[in-house]
This record gives sequence, C-alpha cells and structure tokens, in this order.
Amino acid sequence: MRGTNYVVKRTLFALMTLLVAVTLNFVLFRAAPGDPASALRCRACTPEFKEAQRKEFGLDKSKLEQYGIYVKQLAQGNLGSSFSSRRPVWEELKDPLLNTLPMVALGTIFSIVFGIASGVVAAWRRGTVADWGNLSVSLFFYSLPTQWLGLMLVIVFAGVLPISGISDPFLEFTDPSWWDTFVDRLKHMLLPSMTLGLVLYGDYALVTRSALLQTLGEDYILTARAKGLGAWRIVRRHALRNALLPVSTLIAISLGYLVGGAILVEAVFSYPGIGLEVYDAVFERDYPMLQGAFLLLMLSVVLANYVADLLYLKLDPRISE
Amino acid sequence: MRTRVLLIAALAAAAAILAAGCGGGGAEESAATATTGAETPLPDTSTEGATTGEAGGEIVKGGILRIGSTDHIDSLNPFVAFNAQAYVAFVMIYPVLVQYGPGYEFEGDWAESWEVSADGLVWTFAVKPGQWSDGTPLTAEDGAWSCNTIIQYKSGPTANLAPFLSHVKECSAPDPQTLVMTYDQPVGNVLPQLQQFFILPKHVWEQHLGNSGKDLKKVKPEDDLPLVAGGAFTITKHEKKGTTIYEKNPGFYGPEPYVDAVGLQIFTNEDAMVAALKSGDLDTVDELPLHAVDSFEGNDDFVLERLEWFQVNNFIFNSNPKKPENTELLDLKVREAIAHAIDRQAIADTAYAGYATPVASIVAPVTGEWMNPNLQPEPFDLDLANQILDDAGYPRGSDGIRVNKDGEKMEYEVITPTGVQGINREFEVVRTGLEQIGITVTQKALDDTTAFEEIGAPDWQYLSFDMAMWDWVGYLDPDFVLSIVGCDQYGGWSDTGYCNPEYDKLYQEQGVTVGQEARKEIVWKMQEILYDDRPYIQLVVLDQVTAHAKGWDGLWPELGGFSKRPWVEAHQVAS
Repeated sequence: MRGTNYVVKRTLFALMTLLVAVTLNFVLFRAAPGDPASALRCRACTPEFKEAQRKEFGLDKSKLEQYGIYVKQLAQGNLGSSFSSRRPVWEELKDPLLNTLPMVALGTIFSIVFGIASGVVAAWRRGTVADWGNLSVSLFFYSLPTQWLGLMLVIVFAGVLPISGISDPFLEFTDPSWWDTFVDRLKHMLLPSMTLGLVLYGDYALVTRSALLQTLGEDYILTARAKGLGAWRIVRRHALRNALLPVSTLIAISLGYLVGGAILVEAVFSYPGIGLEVYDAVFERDYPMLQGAFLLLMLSVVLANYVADLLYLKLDPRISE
Repeated sequence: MRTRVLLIAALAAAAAILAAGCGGGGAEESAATATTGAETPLPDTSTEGATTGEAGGEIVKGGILRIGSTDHIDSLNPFVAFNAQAYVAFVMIYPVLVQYGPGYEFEGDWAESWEVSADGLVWTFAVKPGQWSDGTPLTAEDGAWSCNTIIQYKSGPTANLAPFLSHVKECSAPDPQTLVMTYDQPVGNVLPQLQQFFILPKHVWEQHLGNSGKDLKKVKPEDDLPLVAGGAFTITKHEKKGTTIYEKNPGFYGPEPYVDAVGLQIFTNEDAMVAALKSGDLDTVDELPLHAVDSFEGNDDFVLERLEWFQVNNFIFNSNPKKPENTELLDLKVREAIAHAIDRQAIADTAYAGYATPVASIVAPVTGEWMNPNLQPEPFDLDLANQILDDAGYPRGSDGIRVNKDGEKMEYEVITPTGVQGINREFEVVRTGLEQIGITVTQKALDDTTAFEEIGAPDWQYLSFDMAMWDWVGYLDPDFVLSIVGCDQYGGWSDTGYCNPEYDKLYQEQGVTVGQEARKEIVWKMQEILYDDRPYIQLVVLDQVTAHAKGWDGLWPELGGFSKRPWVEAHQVAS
C-alpha cells in the first residue's frame, strides 16, 4: 500500500512537471528578443512582408490566444508546423530523433560497461596503481568539455574513421548490401558515440568507485570475508549490488539528459540528429520546432526521472516507508 | 556567417537577394538603342575520348565531385528558401536565362541570344530546346508561366523571388523558343536580376496555385525525388543537414557535364570539414576557414585559390538623429576621429590572418568599376584623431576619458554579433585604438537575431544603440548594398537608422539609369555621401580562399553561385 502511494505520488509529480514544462516551453522562447519574422532577412522582407509573415505564423494574435492554440494542438497530439520549412514538426523531428537515439545508446552502453568495470577495479584495488590509474583516467575524461574531446577525436581519427555525417554519401553508387549499409552507419556512429561515452564513463566510474568503497567498509562485507567467501564473490554478490543504487539512479537520470547533451556532439560531427535541429531552430526563432524538440527532451528527462524513482522503490523498498 | 543577416537569411542574402531591386544598370546593357547579346559558348564536352582541360591536363570524364560546405540547403522550394546554398542548387537544377561567365561578363545559360527594344522596355530571349528531367519538353511557356506566377503573387507567396523580376509587367511565349519580357520602365540591371530568375517546370508547379498562391510555399520538392529539373543536374538524394546528390539531367540544353554526379556534404563544424578535405574524403570545399589556410601552404596535394570577395566588415554608428542619448556620436567630427583611431591593417592581419584588405566603401573592389576608387580608408593616426576631438570640444577628464558637452564620459557599448568570424579580435583592435583617444568601448556580444533586434530597438525606431560591428556581403551589381541605408529600410535591412532623402533620390535615379557611365557617376556619388556621413566606417574586405585536391580542374570557384560553368566543367585531370 505504501508502495502504491509512492508510485501514485511520483506519477502525479511527473505529470505536474510535464504540465509546467509545457507552459515554460511556450514562454521561454518567446522571452528571447526577436521573432521568426524579425529573424528573416531578405530583399523582399519589408516591414509589410514581415507583418504578413507574423500573420501567417499566427504571431499577430495575443500571447494568451497563441498559448491556447498551442495547448489545444498539443492535446490533439499535434506539435504544429515548422515556421522555416512549413512541415509538421513531428515529421521534421522524427528522422533526427531516430538518428540520435542509436548513437546516444551506443555511447551510453559503452560508458556504463566501462565506467562500472573501471569503478569496481579502482575500489577493489584501492590505493594501488590500478586505483590511481583508473581514478586519473576517469577524472581526466570527466573534466573534459564534450565538444573539445570531439574535436580532438576528429583530428586524431580523420582518415581512419568517418568524422562527419551519418553515412557515406557515396555508398549508394557502389550498390551496397544491407550489411555494408549497417557497417557504414555503425562506423559513422562510432566517434560521436565514443565522445559521449568517454565523458560519461568518467562520471560512472567515479560514482561506482565511491559507492563501492562505502559498501566495502560495511560490517556485512567483513562478515562475508570472515565466512571465507572469495573476493570476486564478495564484490559481485554483496558489495556491488548495494553500491549500484546511486549508480542506477545516475544512469536513469543521465539517460534523460543524454538526448539534450547530444547537441554539442552532433554539432562537432555534423551528425544530423535532434541536437542540430534545436541548434538551428534557436537562431531561426522557429517556435514550433523549439517547442516540439524541447517537449521531447523534457519528456525524456521526466520519464528517466520517473523510471529512476520507480527503480529506487524496487532496489530499496525502505524508500516507501 | 558572412552577412549581417540573421543566421539563415544571412548567407541567403549573399547569393540570393542582392542583385535585385528596382534599378541599376549593368555594363552589359546600353540605353536607348536596340542591343543584342549572345552567349559565350561553353566547351563542347560531347565528344568522347580524351580532351584537354584549361590547365592543359587530359580531362578524365566521369567520377563524383565531392564538395564540403558549412552552409546547408534550407529548402528546395525556391519560394521558401533563403540560404545561399539553396540558391547554388537552384542554379544547378533550374534553367536561368543568363549567367556570369569568365571575368564576370554575362553569357547565355538557357538563352541562346537576346535583344532589347529601343525604348528598353521589351526584352526578347531566344531560348534553347531542352527537356525537363522527367522527359517533358522545356519551352518558353515554362519561362512565361514562372515569370507571370511570380509577378501575380509578388506581395505574398512569391515575394522571395519577386525582386529578380522587379518592374516586369508581363511575360509571354509567342513560340516555344521565344520568351518576351515586358517592363513598365527601363531598368538598368536587368541581366543581374535575371541571373537569379529560376525557370520552374510549369507542369509540376501549376497544380499548386490554390489558396491564392499560398500553396506554392507548401510544395516540398525534396519529398518527391528525383526532382524535376531542367538544368545540368537533378537531385536524387537530399538530406537537409547531410548530403545532397546531384546527378546529370540527360535532357539538359547545354553541354553535358564531365562528372557523373556532384555530392554536397554539409558540415556543422568547419574544422571537421578541413580534416575531411585533408584526409581525401572531399575533393573541394566552397570556402576554406581563414584560420586553416596556412595549414595548406606547401601542401602539394592541394591547390589553394585566393579570390577577391564581397564581404565588407564595418563599424556602425546609430545615425538616427532622433536618438535621445549620447548624441555626440552624431557629430561627424567624432566619427572622423574614430575612423582615424582604428588600425584597419591590424584588423586584417590579426583577425583575418592577412586575408583581408582595408577599404573605404561598402561596394567591394571585386565589383570593378562600381567601387569609387577616389575614396581611401582614413589613415591610422592617433595624434590626428586626438587633435580632431580636442578641436571639436571633447576634452579629457582627469581619468583620461573624454567627456561630451554635458560633461558625461564618452563610454559606449558596441554590439557585436556572434555569427561573424573574427569579430572578437576585430573589436579588440577597435577598443585599443579608441582607448588611446580617450573613448571607452565595451563589447556586447549577442547572437545574430538578438543583435539585430537590439540595433533596431525599440520596435525598429533605432533609438537605443550607439555602435555596432557587422559585415555586409554585396554582389557584383552594387544595387543591393546601396539599398540597405535607404529610408525605406527601417525595419528592413537598415542597421544604422540612417536616412538621407538626397541619397534616396540618387538611389532611385541609378535604378532607372540604363547607361553604364551615367549610372556609375551616380553610384560613386552615393558612396561619397556615405563616406562623408559615416553611418559606417568601412573596415576591411575579406578574401575568399578555396582549396581543391590537385587532381581536379575546371571548378571556377569565383563563379560558384553565379553560373552553371563550375558544375558543367569540373573534371578530373589524368595524372
């Protein structure tokens, strides 16, 4: 019952967050100076032309009216149409989102696997060269600006791995098989994924190490040792399971932010994902695109937090008490 | 970003918009008497076997030309697109009547020849037979329909392209190979305008005239590839931020391109683009970042080409006389002093690695005789600048900062848009110079859209800002860059709040002056007025540097957005 209350509370909280986010989404971009019409610059863009554009985009209506239309459209699952391309926002975002997700997923998997492994080794071998080495490398990558690391990878791997785009633009002229296409996509995904993965890896490694060190100092670990259990078994069965509590939360939360964090990586690698769409839409003051993209980002963050909350309940039932 | 435009539209301006306008005469046209033009024939590439290219190497037919760029095609619908890259695409895929050739002389593209009536009102073009890429014949009727449609909806859906048909009353096609364009008054720059009048396939577009023409803007050519094209190439693949593949149009009315296809790859990171060029993933880039030029010096695998270009960077004064604060900046003596305190050569050397030249006019030297050669940049002379301010009654305070006539310190903000490359270093040179004449300036860096809003604030009345820095990218015909300071540009292009009825009168006059010499005199006079009134202090004109792999030739980088030549003549050379 307590568990149910907890779930209901978290669900309501997530829904409220979304509602506030939807409103903020509307207000925030309109608070920036300029609008889609003023951002237009062309020989024909006379003040009259810009006024006509505002009318076409519905910007001549009061903010309240615009908000009403926005919410009504949203309730019908309609994100509106992009001001710059005149295409439905969902159509504009769908493909970039599908490009971003596998790239982000690959990076995340890499960071989780290597981050946790590195953290475990460092904690278990505390005070040794292995600990010092893992800690230094983790701290190094954790503190690197994402875009700088991306640029370094571009310089180092140019000519070895694809450094831009999502596929070899000229592959189609070679009549490729599905396998060739798959391998090509994977190769293009590698450097952006690694950039994300390396930065996140440091984060996971540090948290895992710290959490594991804490659990390794617990009495039940001493008991396990006293019982004569093997080192790996103690770590795997007793220490790591408990240490993973903060790590799993971090993973869930990071997953939400990863979609947003891809903006920098996509800009460096010219990767046509959702981050690039957001980047352009900001300059163009393309409100529907921004609202649509940020709604997706917010959804992913809220959802990830919600999942983290529920996961916590499963991992640590005390939380519902 | 290379124009002062806000992002998208920025580059848009560069290639798109500029030639338009209501006037201006071109060198190629003479007044009053009937004249005839004819194309400079492109090389015949139809013969199989080895031929010899310009560089003397043996031409290798076929292959794919891989181009890198940081400017993407925002739309393949000409009624919607703004970016320069989109206009390059339109030049490749759609027929245009005339284009720029070597030495920026006009030559026919679709037009075989043309003549103008004695009163300068009727232009008759003999057009070549050809086919759209779907097999439909390309006729003058397509030209007449495109023209009349643009005119019909010019204040709405077709406003983007309307400036290129400024003063055209109607178009007709008396026969499939003859297009007649009738103007309501003689216009000086007809050919520069028509260079960006794209002929669309009537059979594709006429079904989208509904909703008072507004449906034209809803057309998505990219959704229905291969695109129906009448130019040298059609588009078979298009990713907005990825790759666009151009393949040859077999029905093209001109010579067959040497290459099988052109692949345009978009980069959002110019360093990655440079790395891709160096590693052999690209054959050429449309513009090399100036900071990367040195890394190609001495590299025998690449050919660098340094071109005179159109981007003029400038220092802007709010010139609205109704400006309520810091009105001493309206004093021409203060502006003159500031002009002498800016070390333009230092800007060229430090901000642009030497690939820039000090200038005095907004009309770039590359336009040839349109630039007034009598105007020279004010010499960098701090003593003179200090003297001018002392004489004008702006004494230094105890802290060394000068004060205006109300005793207020001469301290100002300078708006700088983040989209202009090198602007921070450029500002530092300006700041250092002004500091030495007792004027303190601080940088206010804003994204381009916000910067332009701040300049026009409040509500495009130009009352708030003091100074700014930006750039203008002109065109071969000076009409566009001369138009931006017109009184009617408040809320439009204006970034100075400048308004001078005498200047506007001259602008209108040059627009209907057909004789080149007569028009040139007016254009020079307009530049003198701007020089004296100083709504801008022109700083430097930037070069454009391109690079291509050594095995390529016939790329004509200077004709990039102006002609089909680069795409038709690009070829590999046998090693």
